[in-house]
Amino acid sequence: MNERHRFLRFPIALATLLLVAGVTLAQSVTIDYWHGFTGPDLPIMEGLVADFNAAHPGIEVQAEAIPWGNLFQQIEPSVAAGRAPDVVAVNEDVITGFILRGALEQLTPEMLAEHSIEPERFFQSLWSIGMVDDAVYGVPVHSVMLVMYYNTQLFEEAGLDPNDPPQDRESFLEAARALTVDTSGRHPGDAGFDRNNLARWAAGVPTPWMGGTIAYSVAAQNGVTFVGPASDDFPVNFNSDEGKEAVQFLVDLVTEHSVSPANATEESEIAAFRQGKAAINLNGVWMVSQYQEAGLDFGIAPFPHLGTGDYRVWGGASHLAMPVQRRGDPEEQAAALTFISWMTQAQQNLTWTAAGGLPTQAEVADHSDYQSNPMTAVKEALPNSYVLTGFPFIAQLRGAWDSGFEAALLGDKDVDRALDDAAAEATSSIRDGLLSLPDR
Amino acid sequence: MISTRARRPPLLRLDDSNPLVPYLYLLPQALLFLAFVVFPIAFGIYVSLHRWNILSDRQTFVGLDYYTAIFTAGTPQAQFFWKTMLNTGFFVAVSVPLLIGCALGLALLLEKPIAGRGFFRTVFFLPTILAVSIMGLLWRWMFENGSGLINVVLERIPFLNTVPFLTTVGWAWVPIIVGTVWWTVGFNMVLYSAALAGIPRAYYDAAQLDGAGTFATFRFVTWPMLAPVTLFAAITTTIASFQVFGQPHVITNGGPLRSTQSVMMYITEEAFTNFRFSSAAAMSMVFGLALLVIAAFQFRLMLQDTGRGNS
Amino acid sequence: MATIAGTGRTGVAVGSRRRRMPRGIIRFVTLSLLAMIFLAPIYWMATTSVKSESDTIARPVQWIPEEPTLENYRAIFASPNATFLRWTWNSLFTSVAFSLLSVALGVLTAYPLARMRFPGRQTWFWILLGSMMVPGIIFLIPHYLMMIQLNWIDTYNALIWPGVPGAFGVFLMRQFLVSVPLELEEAARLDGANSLQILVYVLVPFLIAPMAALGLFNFMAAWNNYVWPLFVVHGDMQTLPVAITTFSSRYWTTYGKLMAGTAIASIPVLIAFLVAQPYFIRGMSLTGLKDE
Repeated sequence: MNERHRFLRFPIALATLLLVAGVTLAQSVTIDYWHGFTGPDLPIMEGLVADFNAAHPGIEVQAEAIPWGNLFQQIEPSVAAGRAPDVVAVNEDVITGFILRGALEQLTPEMLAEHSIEPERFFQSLWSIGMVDDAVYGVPVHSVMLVMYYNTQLFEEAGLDPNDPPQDRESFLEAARALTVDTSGRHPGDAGFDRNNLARWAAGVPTPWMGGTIAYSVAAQNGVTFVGPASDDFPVNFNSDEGKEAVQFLVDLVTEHSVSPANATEESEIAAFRQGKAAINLNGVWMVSQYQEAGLDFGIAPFPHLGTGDYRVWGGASHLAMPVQRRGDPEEQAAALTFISWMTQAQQNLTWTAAGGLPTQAEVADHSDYQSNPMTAVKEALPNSYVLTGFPFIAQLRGAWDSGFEAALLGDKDVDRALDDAAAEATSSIRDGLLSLPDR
Repeated sequence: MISTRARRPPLLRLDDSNPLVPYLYLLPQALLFLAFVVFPIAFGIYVSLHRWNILSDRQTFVGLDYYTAIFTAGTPQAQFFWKTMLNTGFFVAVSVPLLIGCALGLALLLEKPIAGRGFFRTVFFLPTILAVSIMGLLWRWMFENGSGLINVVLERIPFLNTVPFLTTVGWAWVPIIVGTVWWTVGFNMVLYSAALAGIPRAYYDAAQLDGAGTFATFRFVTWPMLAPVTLFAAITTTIASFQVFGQPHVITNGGPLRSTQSVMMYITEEAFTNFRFSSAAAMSMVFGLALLVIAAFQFRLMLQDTGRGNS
Repeated sequence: MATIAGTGRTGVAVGSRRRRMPRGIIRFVTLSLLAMIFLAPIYWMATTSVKSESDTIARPVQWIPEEPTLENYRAIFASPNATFLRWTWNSLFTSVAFSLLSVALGVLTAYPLARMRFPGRQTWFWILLGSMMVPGIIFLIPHYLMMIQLNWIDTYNALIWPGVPGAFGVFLMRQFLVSVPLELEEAARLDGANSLQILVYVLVPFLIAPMAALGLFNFMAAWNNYVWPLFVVHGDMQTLPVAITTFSSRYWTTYGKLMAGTAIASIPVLIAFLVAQPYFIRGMSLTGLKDE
């Protein structure tokens, strides 16, 4: 795709030049746009960009898809070298860091108003991700959540109703026991049940990141906020009794209830779900097209309410933002804002949800065309997605949490020690992170 | 030509008698050497003494803060730097003897002519030409927890269970080390093969006359004659192993629980993910100095060259 | 110089083989088993890549694919951002450029160090030699920050230049240049040749083999470099070996496609190796052994 664009660029440039010179039409502005939608969502993103270009003769957006990890490594060097893209997509866990290190341009109220980007349109939980101290730096373009996929055929075989998937702790455990069978056909709890030779199981509790994400959701349902207020330098609180209860519950799924194989990974669980070995897969909304392609009979439900408090679930988002330009060109900036505005309108968001993303605004969620989307099953959970954001050390905090959970799950440490150690690690990372922030 | 030489002062002569000629040949390399070897060393030290922010025009001087952090218990830098150092040390301690021993074993097996010798040598050398990413992807799939070849075989052997290699602390080293041996043993094998071919036949004949058996011949003739190669291979392999990056990066991505994360991986994480270039530069210096000690040893050996065969 | 085939001892060895047949058989069987183990990953890659997704994880395992298919390869080539040709070109161009430049600089620099007398000769040689001891990790961060300053992120320049002044080539070329007889050079000088002509027409012919070996060694080193390209170039500018891991990460759980991608990146290299194989091992030992 990019190759083709490059070949086209010369004739296009030439044609533009001729037009400008001869007819003195409005000249075309070229906008570079980097994003990380490299999966099955890529063609849809490219289609949207093509639509934008067709609808805006004065602006040519050149999109480049770069895997997220690489993309985030590139943003600051490109800003420093003065060749940053005009628009970039950034995720909830890194955006605050980029803002605080001065890599992103503020979107002033005037800019937002002039380009009809109305904050009220978006879910506030998403909108606030792009803000630091009341200043706006990004506009939500993409939203994701942890959901539950389940194999309807296996549900029927186990005598469960595929139209009524388990949604709380008790029904989840009950369904999980029914779904788990060892190679001689025994269920957990039966005499002679062999937990080391499972033929089928409910849902593997995996490591590292996805396991941490599941544990994060259960802990959030137990009321854990992970860190305290910024004014106290973000005190880490995930090793509270509630946090430990959440982790212990997930560890017990493996050790006590035997409804998950030991040593599951995110990849092995995806493979097992595709093979019809795992009846349930807890993963992000982005898996849907892969499972559809695999020809599975599966249903989608909100991530179950496994915690003891209010319903919460892990959520994430991508925002469109403008990297700082060494030579600010007002025309390019205006074009970039036009693009950001267009891309985040309800109509485009609706198109985008076909790629597996969730609506960023209520208008889309309630739109009649959205109701046929398989993810409408989790619509109710949308307002309850709990996004960790607002400080620049999320990667370190999540790193500590994930490895603490991993240590507990793999039996490396008991839950108490695993989470206490992880909290100590997170605390020192945050202290260190606060020190290394540039003076603002 | 002669007349020019007579008239002009030496530094302005346009032929080989100009004393600046040798420097002219040195110049292109010297310029690049200053720019990409000498300057970066100084620049790296400079960066490590500041809090480097690539988006800022002026950098805050912090002195030795990033160095003391590495040696102060309780900082994340100290915790992870030394943990990954230990991981790396473990990798070196296990892989280097294997890479020397297996290479010598293969070279000895191939020493005497045998049907298909060229084929075997090619096969054993073949993996060394692959990129580390290819090697990593191959072994990741070989050791995959469920359907990898190794576990498929283990499944079939009675009384053995499959092992979730990629996700178990300890076992996760197996794919990395097996993969590394497979990948690089061919290189040391070639070194040994060449050295074996260079041992004069007369030494073996003399040993045979003395009634030495196979083992005795190896112990008292072959092994001492191979000493320089062994040392050379041991040191180059050690230095390369300390800088291990690609194998754990592709096969386990450092997991589980950072148990296979190498110090190189941690330094790049600190720089490119956490954007703490100064901290990473300080760690590079500390780690680099440690390697320098080993390298200095190699340097001495290279100077002594051959002639140590009987030591 | 070191050679691989110990031809001198063939006669003796053949005799001893005839006397000890059983041992020869044991050795042959051992070697065959080892060869099978060495080839297993490549065989496993090739067969996995032509299996359908359900067959890659099927039990009993299919040692020989029952219904071979090229579907994985088709899917890989059809997938967005799969610019294999571009990545291959990036790797080829930068590896060749790096290799040629460092061989040329190595010869040019080694020449006065080996064949001329001038103040500072020893000092400069020691400085170059000493630089070889400095571990690569020291350069990673400063080089990266320099690339930002030079605006060389995502360019071929970043892949080519930083490694070019490495002293290994200078050291190697000097070792060989020192051994060329002085008389040849003097004869040429009497014929009126200048220093550059002496280098090109008298000395370089002696250096062809080591230059080729060094070139090959440099090419391999550049082609297989992993850490540096991983961070300094991205997307379309990536080199093939690094791109293949980034690209593959989206197929972690679809092993057929994963191995098809791996095969696409490795089979051309394997074939090239098999064709050039005799030169290859000899070249490796030439540079690896230096003057052992």
